[in-house]
Amino acid sequence: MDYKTGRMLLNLLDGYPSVSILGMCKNAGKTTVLNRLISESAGSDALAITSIGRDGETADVVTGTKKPSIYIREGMMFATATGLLPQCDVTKEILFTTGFYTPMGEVVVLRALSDGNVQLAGPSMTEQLMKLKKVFLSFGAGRIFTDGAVSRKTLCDPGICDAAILCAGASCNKDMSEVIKDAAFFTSIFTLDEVREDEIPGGAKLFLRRSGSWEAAADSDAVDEVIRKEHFDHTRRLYMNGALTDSFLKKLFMAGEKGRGVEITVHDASKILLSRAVYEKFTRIKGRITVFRPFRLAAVAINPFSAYGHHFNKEAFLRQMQSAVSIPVINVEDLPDVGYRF
Amino acid sequence: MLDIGFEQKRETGLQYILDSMTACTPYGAELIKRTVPYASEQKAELIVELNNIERAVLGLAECGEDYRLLMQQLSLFKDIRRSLKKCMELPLSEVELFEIKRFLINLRSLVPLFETVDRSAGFENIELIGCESALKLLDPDEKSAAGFHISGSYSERLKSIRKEKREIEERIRRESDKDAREQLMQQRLITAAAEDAEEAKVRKEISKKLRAYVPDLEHNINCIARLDTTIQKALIALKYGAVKPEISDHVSFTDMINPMLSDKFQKQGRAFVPISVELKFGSTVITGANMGGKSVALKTIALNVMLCQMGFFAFAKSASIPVFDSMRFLFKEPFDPEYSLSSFGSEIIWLNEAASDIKNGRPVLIIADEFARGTNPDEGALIVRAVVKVFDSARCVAVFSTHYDQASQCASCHYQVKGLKNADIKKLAEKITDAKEGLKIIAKSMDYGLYKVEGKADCPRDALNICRLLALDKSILDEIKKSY
Repeated sequence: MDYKTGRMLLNLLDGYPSVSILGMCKNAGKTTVLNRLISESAGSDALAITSIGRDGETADVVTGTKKPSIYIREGMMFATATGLLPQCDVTKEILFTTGFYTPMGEVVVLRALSDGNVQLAGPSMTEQLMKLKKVFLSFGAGRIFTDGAVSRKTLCDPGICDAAILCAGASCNKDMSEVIKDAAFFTSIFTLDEVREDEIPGGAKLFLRRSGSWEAAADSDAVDEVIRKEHFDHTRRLYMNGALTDSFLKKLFMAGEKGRGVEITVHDASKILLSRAVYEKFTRIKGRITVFRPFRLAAVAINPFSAYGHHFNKEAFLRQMQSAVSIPVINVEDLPDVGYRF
Repeated sequence: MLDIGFEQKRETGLQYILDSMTACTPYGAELIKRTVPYASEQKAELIVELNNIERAVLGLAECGEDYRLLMQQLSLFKDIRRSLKKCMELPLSEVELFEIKRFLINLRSLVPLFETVDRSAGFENIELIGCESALKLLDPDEKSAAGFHISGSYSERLKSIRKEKREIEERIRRESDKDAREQLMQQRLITAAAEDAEEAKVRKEISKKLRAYVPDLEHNINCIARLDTTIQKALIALKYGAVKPEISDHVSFTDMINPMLSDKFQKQGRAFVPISVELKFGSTVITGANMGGKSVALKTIALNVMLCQMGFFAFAKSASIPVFDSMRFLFKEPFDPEYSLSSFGSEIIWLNEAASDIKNGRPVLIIADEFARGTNPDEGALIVRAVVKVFDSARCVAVFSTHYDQASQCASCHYQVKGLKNADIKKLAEKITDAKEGLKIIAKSMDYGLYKVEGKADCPRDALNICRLLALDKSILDEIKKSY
C-alpha cells in the first residue's frame, strides 16, 4: 500500500475504470469506502458516481442510525433521482435526463459546480446502467464508481463494472465467523479463474466439452441425465449458457460418482446465483466453477461497527478475514486520514 | 358519430396501421394515437392534411437525406408540455428548466432543417417560430452549453453566497484536523441553505419571465406534432404504395387492400386479392360463399374510408370518398352484458342509431356484416330486405353482406364474391382426408374477387361444398344430401 500519497484503496484499482462498491448487507460500510475513494482520487481522472438503488442518506432509512454522507468535489459528475436533488447541496449543473424512472423520480446526470454533499439513487436495470455508463463517458468521465450490493448481481456484469470492492460489516450478522464465511464465499465467486475461448458458444443452454470443442447438450434441465447418458471429455467440463442456480447443482449432486470433479464454466460472475451452502457442497465434491469473462475483486473492506449495536473486535475481525480470503483486507477507518485534500 | 371504438379499430385493421407508425416525437405519437376522422365541416383542413402528405411523399422520394436529418433532429425532442403548464402557475425546478432549454436548443437546430425541406415542399399550416429570446433567458451567459445551471449572473446575492461557500469549501480542503473540519462542514451547511433559498427565488423569477413565451412554445409543439405525423403518414403511404384520395360525392376504390389482413395472409402463404368497388348513395349488398371474403371486403372498405377521412392516403390504386358526417359499423355480433340483450337485440339497437343518423340528411356511412343472422331465417330475410330498402333511398352509403335471398333486389347495387363457383368440388373433395387439409384446399380454390352483379342473381349455394371440403362426418353429410 502506498502510505505516502494516501492512495491505499485506489492503487488496488489501477487499470479498472469502472468500479462498484458491493455491500454484503445494509450498513456494511460502503459510503465510508466511497468517500475514501473520492478523496484518494483527487486530481486524477474526471470522476462520476451513481448507485444501484438509494444511498447516501444521513440516517439509514431502515435502522435510523447516523450514516456518513457522500461528500464530492467540484467537477465530479453524479447520477441521482430528481426527488433527491433538494438533499444535494452542491451547486448543480443539470447535464442530462435519462428517462429512467425510480420511485424517487427520473434519474438525471449532473455536474457539481462546487464541493458538497450528495445523495444517490441511480437506475437498477442492467440495460439502464450500461446506458448511464455511456452517458458518463460521453461527458468525459474517466472513472465511474457505483455504489451497490452483492445482491445486485448485475454489477459483476463485465459490461457494467470491471472491478469491485466488497464491504463486509458487523451489521451483516451477529456472528463474526458467519460474516467471514459469507465474505469468503463472495470472494471466491468474484475471483473465479478465467477460461480463454476464442468463440463463446451460443444457441443452447448447456454445452459439454467433447473432443476439444463445445457441443450442445440435448436436455439442459436434467443435468443428471445428461451426465449419465452423454459422454464427457476426460476434462469433465460443462458450459452453462445462462444463470447457474442451486437447483441445477442439486440435480448434478444426484448424478452420484459421475457428478464429481466437474468443471462448470459460466459467462461471468453475474450469472452465478448460488447459495453459500450449495456452492460449498459443490466444492466438497471437487467441483470447480470458471468464467469466460473474469471480474476483479480488488479488496475486502471491513466495518467492525454494527448499526444494530453489537460490534466486533476490529483486530480479530481483520486477522480472521485476512486468513479467509486471498485478497487484501482493509479497515478504512484505520487508514491514515486523508481529509478532503481535493 | 365519428368516434371509433377500440374494438372496431382493432377489427378493421386500423389499429394495426396506427401501431405500425413510429413517430419521432412524443407529440407526434400522441397526435397519431388521438387521430379521429375529420368532421364534415372540417373538409378544408382534411384537404390541407392530404396535400401536406402528398408534399412529404414527393419530398421523401426526391430529397430523402434532408428528411432523414430532419427526422433525426425531431427524435431529440422530449415532452415538455407538463412543465409549460406548471410554468403558468408555479416556479419550475432546475430539471424542468433544463428540459425547456434543451427544447429551445433543439428547436434552434430544427428550424433550418425544416426550412430546407419546406422550401420545396411548401407545407401548409406548419410554421415554426424562432424562440431566441426565451433561450437567452435560460442561457444568460450565452455559452450555448448543453447543460443548465442557475448562473450567478441571475443574482448578485447568489454570486456572493456562492463565493462565501467556496471559501469555506477551500478551508475544508486544507484542514487536516478532523474536528475542525467537522465544524467547517456545519458552517458550510448554513451557507448551502442560503444558496438554496436564493436559487429558489431566481427560479421563481425565471419561470415568471418564461410565461410570456409559453404560447409560442405551444404553437411550435403543435407544428412539430403535425410535421412529425405528416412524415409518418407519408412513410406508410410509400411503404404500401398508397394514393391520395379525392374528396367527392361517392365512395370508389380501385385495387384496395387491407395491410393487416394482407400481412396475415402472406404469413399463411396466400395472397390478398385487391378489391375494387364503387359505392353510390343508397344500399349495396354483397353476397357470396362462406369463407369467400365478404367480411374481408367490408373491413377493407371500412378501413380505407376511415383512413382517408383521418387524413391518410388510401391503400389502393385510386380512391375517392365524400366526407361523412357519421360512420357506423357492425362486425361481430354485438353483445351488451349491461342490458343483457341478445345479439339480435343489440343489432336492433345499433340499427336504430344508424336510422336516426340518416334523418338529418348529411352523408352517413353504414357497414353491416350479416345483419340479423342470429334470428330465424324467414323473419331475418324479411327484416334485411326492409332495412336495405329504407337505406337505399337515404343519403347514406350503406353496405350489407348477407346470405338472405332477394335482399340484393332491394338494393341499387349488388356485388358478389365469386367463391367456389368455378372449382370442381367433386375432384377436390376426393383428395381431402381431414379438415386442416381441406382449409388449405379451400383457400387455394376460392376466388376472393369481388364482382358487380348486373340484373337478378340469388345467393350462391356453396355451404354444402364447404361441408364436403372440410371432411364433414359422412352420416351427417349423407343426411343433408337426402333433403337437398
